[in-house]
Amino acid sequence: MKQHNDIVELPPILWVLLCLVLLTQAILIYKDAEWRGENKWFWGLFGLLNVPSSGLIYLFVTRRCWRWFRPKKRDE
Amino acid sequence: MDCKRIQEQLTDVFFGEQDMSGQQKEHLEHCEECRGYWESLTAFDSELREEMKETGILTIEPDEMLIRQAFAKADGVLEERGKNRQFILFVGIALGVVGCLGLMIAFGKLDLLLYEQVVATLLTLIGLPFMVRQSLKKEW
Repeated sequence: MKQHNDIVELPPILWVLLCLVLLTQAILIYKDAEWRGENKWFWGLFGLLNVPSSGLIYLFVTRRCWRWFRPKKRDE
Repeated sequence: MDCKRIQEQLTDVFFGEQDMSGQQKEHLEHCEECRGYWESLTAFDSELREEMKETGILTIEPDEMLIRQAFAKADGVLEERGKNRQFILFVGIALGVVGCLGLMIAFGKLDLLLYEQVVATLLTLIGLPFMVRQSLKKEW
């Protein structure tokens, strides 16, 4: 329960800041998804779930980051 | 009736898309602004007719390219408006969600917040392969 108490003791300004960061992340993801022709509603609402993991997952999926970890072929 | 709407209707009357109604005639008698607008339209019409007589051009063929461009521009404007409307709706929803989170924090319902985060993380982990699959499908 110690951890829970630590959360409660966070200063209110930090909570406000966290909410603003969450909102900004969601809006940025929505706009980027719209620009890239992705499903903007899905990604925008997904961006509201968590910060920064939602943003990182969005970047991972839409930038096809798994390609970076694919072993290169010999002729490449 | 407001003048802006009357002037839009007068434009339609000018281009022969509708007849002038009694209400519009009555409005023209009382409103100087709309009367001026109507007079400018009719003056333009008579000037154009004179010009056509002088130059010997009796009909003006519409430029298909210009019409197409105008329609494309209008479609673009409509699309942009739709996007803006959707964006405003999204911001409203996002504000609502963040507001709910704020209320949860304010009323000390942090256990709920914690559960929400745990469920969201689990769902994300489960959904990640599907998201990647969708993205790969799009790529192929």
